[in-house]
Amino acid sequence: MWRVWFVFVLLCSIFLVISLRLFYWQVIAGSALRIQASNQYTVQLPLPAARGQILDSGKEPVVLSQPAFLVFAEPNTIKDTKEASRKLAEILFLDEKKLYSDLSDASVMWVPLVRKADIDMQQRIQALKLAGIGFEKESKRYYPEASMAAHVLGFVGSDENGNDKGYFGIEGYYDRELRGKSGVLTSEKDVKGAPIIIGDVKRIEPEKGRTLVLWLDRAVQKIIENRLKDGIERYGAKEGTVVVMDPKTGGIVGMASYPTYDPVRHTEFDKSVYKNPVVAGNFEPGSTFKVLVMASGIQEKKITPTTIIDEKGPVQVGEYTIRTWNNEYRGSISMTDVLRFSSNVGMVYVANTLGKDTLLRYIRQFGFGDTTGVDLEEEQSSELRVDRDWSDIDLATASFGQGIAVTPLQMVRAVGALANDGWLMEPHVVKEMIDSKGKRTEIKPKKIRQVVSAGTAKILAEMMVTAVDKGEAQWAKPKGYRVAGKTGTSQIPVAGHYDDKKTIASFVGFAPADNPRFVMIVTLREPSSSPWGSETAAPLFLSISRDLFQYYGIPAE
Amino acid sequence: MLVRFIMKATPVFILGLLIVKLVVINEFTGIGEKVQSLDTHLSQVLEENEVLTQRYASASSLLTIGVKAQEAQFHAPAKDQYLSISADQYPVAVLNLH
Repeated sequence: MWRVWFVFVLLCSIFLVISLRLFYWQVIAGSALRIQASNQYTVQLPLPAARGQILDSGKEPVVLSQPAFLVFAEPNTIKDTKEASRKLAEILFLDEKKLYSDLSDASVMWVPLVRKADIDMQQRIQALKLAGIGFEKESKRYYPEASMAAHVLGFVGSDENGNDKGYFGIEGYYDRELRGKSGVLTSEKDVKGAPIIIGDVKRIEPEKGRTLVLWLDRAVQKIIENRLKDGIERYGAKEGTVVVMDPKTGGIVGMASYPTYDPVRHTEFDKSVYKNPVVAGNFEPGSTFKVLVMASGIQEKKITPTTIIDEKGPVQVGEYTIRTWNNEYRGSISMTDVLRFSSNVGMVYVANTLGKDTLLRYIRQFGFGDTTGVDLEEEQSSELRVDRDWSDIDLATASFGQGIAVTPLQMVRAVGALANDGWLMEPHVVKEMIDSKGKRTEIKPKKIRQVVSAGTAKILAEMMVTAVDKGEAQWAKPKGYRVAGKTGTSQIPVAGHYDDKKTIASFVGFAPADNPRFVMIVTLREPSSSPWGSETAAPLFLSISRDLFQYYGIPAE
Repeated sequence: MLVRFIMKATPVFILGLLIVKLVVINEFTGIGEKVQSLDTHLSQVLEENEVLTQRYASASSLLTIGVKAQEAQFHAPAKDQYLSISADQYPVAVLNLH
């Protein structure tokens, strides 16, 4: 009888073991096995999304993507390593010894040789028919206008995973929009690896990155870049910036800075040049700031263009003495002449008449102390001190643009309000976005606030026209055009004091004064031919204006 | 009569359909390589399109146009410009940009 029981127990045990084993394979390890099996009979191909193009205002491409390749090697399958190293090093500009050592390492299955190789390189390598050398498709940025507008556009580098990522400027700010969404193709494959089209096929189409249309006009950009380069050479300046904005929309039509870099070879340049000084560089605006303080005084009805002050000599503010820039004093002068002669003494009078609270309110309303909201990644702004920290001397120096730090973009936007009936606009580089299905998303011009009335803006425009027509730089003005502008020369603060020999020369203005087509700022850092804005930045501004009049077809009056 | 015919014909019809399905599946299973080659060709055409777009952009860039203009001896406009109907006549229009 025990034999029967023995066989019964044995069979039950075997049945239990088999059941447990089946439970393990089907339930516990089931999903992992399904994946393994799926990997054997399905093929999964990533479908990378092409990065979006960047077009100028005339829809001409300024950045687009071109095919490129990751060149890789499988050392174990290379037949003649020495010969392959020699030929590849020649085409890929690599060190032959280093390449030979990489390709000789039998323990490595896969070696990336060069990323983003262009199509010519790929074709030359393909023609060699070397075993163990392969290509993986990538794409890289192409700039038809070379390094034009590099600071505005930014560049594309790699993130921590080796994927493309935009840095700085438009590429950085709109990285998500430009990047698009990658797709994937999953299908069953036959023994040769070819897809079985009646099997399961899942295709998630890649979504191409959005195309960005800019306000930037490549012809205007070319003009200002050429002029800025010439100006920097002529006046011996270390750095310079030019911004051209449409005052009615806030659209950035041109933005140039020097020194600049080449986005294709950005790794060869010092990282300090990546940041756009127009939005990330602060400077003391000097006398260009006077037009804004003057506008505040007129808006508050504390002064008029004909208000007379007695400029009999320097003015004392606490323990400090405020002088005119040339230490000359003209006696009774009007407010129009205060701007024309750029009188610091006259501006201290305006600041005192306005009072601390009102002047600080206007400085903030003109957009200082806060970022402009421009669509460029690296924008930053100096914070204004809290009101209680402003002493009398701070207020006095701020009236002529010293002791306050602004960016060139903040300055051109603030003066742009005077060219736009007093309305402060949000500056923008991108005008519209077009997605892969052709759907357009327009970025509409955004009015921030009306800082001064249209009447005040017109009065200031007239005063600025006089400042140009009768000012130091009148010789450079294009005849027959009404240009509203103001020069500025500010000393550079170095270790707690101002350096007399180092200045930032600037000129800000708009034209034609009656119906402004553009508002523009020019800054030159440490010009060596002359420290004055009237002898450096002003002629440069006016020569660019002359080109713009021609380009826009604006006739002389 | 009709019912009997349908009863007899249905299995034959189903068998016929199964054979057709078998033939079609066999046919389609075999053209995977052709599909793959079409995909490769499509990818090549798209790549070529990208290259042509790049060449077009390069040819129409201000950089290229500037070089061609210089070669064709165009130059920047002078500050004073005179417009005459013919070379031996006085100017009919003057543009002064000083």
